[in-house]
Amino acid sequence: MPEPGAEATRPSKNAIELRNVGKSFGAGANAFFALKDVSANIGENEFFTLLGPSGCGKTTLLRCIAGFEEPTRGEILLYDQDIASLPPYRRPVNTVFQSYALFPHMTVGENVGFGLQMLNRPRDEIASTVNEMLRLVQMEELRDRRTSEISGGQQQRVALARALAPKPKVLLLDEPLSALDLKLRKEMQVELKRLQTETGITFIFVTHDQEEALTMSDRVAVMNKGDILQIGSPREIYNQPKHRFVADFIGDINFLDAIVTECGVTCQAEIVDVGMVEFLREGEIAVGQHITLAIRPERITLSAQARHPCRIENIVYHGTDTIYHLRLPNDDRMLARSQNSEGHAPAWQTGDDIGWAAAPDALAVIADNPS
Amino acid sequence: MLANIWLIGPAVVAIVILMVIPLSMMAWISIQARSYGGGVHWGELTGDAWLRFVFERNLDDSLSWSFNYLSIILRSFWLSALTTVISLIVGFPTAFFMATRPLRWRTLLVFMVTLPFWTNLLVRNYAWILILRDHGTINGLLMSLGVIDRPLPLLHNEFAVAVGLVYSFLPFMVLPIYSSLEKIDLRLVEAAFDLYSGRWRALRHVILPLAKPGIIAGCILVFIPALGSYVTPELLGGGKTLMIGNLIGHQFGAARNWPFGAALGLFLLALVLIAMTAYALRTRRSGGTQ
Amino acid sequence: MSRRAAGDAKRWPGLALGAGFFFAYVYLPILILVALSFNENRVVTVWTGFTLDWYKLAFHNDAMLRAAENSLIIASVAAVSATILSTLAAVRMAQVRFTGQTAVNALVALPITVPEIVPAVATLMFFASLGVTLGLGTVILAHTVFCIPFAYLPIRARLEGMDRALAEAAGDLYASPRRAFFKITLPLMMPGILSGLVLAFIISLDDFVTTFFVGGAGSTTLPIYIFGLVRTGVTPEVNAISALMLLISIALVSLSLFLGRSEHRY
Repeated sequence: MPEPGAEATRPSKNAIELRNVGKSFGAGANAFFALKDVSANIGENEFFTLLGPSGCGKTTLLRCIAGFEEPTRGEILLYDQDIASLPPYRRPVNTVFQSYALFPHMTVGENVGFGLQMLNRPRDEIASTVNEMLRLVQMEELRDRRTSEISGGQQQRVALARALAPKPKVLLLDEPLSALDLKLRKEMQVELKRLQTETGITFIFVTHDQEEALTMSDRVAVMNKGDILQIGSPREIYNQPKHRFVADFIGDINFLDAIVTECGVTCQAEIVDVGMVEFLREGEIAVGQHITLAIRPERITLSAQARHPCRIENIVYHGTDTIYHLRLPNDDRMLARSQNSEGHAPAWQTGDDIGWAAAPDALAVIADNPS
Repeated sequence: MLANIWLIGPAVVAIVILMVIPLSMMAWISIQARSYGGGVHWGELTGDAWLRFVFERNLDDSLSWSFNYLSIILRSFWLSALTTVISLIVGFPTAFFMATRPLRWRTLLVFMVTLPFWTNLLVRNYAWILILRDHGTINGLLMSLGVIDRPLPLLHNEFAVAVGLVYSFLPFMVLPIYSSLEKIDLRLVEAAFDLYSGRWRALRHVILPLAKPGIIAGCILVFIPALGSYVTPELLGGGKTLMIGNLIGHQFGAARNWPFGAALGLFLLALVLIAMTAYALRTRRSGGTQ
Repeated sequence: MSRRAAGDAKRWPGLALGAGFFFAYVYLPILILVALSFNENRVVTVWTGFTLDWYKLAFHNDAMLRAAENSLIIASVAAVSATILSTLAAVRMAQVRFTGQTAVNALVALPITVPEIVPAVATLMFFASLGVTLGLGTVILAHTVFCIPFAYLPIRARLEGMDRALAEAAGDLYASPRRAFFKITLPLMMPGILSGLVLAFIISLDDFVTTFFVGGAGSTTLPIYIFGLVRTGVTPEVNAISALMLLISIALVSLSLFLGRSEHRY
């Protein structure tokens, strides 16, 4: 699979290369393919996120990289060395577990030092690294506490410090923020990003939370049913979704079925009973082809004069913005979002007939594979 | 994979050699001829042990009906059934009481119900001798109060055995009922009250059906060990009120009839396995709730 | 009855009465036995005053002390063996998945499923037909087997309550499977192992039926000794020994419960 996100800013060197990785459980007719055919390059120093609904294979992929699962096929390269058959304890890769998995019979300090102890590092080196790591996550004063005596947020930090202490080449994070409440989660998002920048370690982060993925990552891989559907920067994933699933999974979006009428530098397509729209050329598109265009609600401009007519069916106030539920002449529904400013009441009311328009770059062409 | 399983081996091997093989051997021994000095004449096959359940062999080698042993077997069933019913009558309110207490009380109560199980069965039955015998606690108390002037015959009869059996196995009734009642959402009962159902109807239509798995498990857990009990009839029955367990035991003591002991043991074992299998199949069918 | 109580699902007529009867029924005989063991009067059931004489007498009774020694030897060896076997089995049962696992679980539970008299006489016939002399050795073997489920269940429960990610985390942090086991799994299992050990010890210490049939000369344990005394008659000394046995069991089971409960300490 050619890498769709190749144009995003990325360092040249790959920390992890996944080549046609597949993983199935069971055999024969009952076999379940958790990973089908996954390929991706994850750059050194990158904050790379695997995003998808539960059961999409993201955790399995992470566990294959960590070594807890052995892929049934494909290669996993860590700095050009195939590690797919190495046991976890021989891989310079560490994991932050969803449940944190802190050792309950050890203190915070003993937990953080465990990896170095297993690597048979000298005692004084372990002690100084433990202190350094606890300072990094601002937990120095809790070093001698038992892990059962500290809060969830603190346990999270200890788990991070423990995984960072052996200075792994890649840090794997398995939904580490899912157990935290919203406020703490927001704080930790910022904290994680800071840690990644400070330590310069490659992070592979697994989440089902699209907002988390968009705010923290350098690049995001959206997964579904054992496959990576699209890899790209958060901006690309959000604005130029290539798949209906990707578009739908991340935020609200409108789909418009259209027929291409003209294709040059920009293309024209006709939405039956609605009218002509202009969009940017993306890949191979032929005149007469049926396509699906996707547009985010906030990219739709509403005005009385805009060229495509629509009727307002409902207006929902959301504080920072207002959502308009629109009905098109072809009976399709559409959502539009406009930011609220200056405390004005909206200019229109439910039942008004107005118009909408979209800039050519607001429309993304969905490589149609309805699933 | 096999290399990983070998650690399970020693425990399995120990149980197979010292439990499964001896139990299976009983089937073979039960069809051997008895040796009057104890043990068996190996290889001399006979159905005598099994015939003994209902026949007696006369001196001239003919068979005649004999219900001595059958009556012991029937008494075992009767006493075990009685024990089960009494345990249910006492155990259900107790379990219900526990389930309606606040959480921290419940932990203590469960501990108090479990505790007797871990104490010496022999000693606990012995305590009843102190209470029931002619000059025991009950007779002593009643006589000093002048209620009676001769001691009541409380010990060495079916009454004493029933008291001892209930005493021995009652906790096994309480715990499973408690664990199924504990899961009941009391709001269901309040909903029933709210729908103008009286207490007894709420009990019958809401609580009892939900407690049924616990009640069934409790009845099995009381009935089976009661049926196979040895210590209680031995101590409190005083040699007159034998049960299957004692009958089996005696074949290895004074009676010296190993094949008959083996046949009786096999009979008891079969009953237990049938009851357990039926119960396992039932719970599996109904979704595996205990 | 107030309106509120009438609709209170936690209050039912007769419940407290039933529970009261239950606890009285279960605990009164034990209390009576203990009380009578301190009774000065030789006529066991007439209370005339407090004394510790019967305990002194018991502790100077050589036969009783020998029986106690046998009980301790048998219970220690059987409980330790059963715990080792159960620990090995439980660890592997938790780690691997294979067909026949339910069969293994049923097999391990077998000794507590069957009424004790049946395996007791079966084991007796087994040893006899092998020509093994009955004694301390045969009793220890038989006890080891019926102690297995009591040791196995708390260990298994402990392992099942353990986060699988803990062992993975140890591996992730460069611990080989061997070091992960000794550094993480074993210490965390320890409360379950100790709890199982104590339960197995109690069960062996209290056993009468199996010991009675599988034992022989030189394997008289405390319960066997008490049984012998009880058959010949009730004496205050029996009360004292019996009360001691109850006390030991209660102390041990409380200890086991405490060990099993402790979340993170060991």
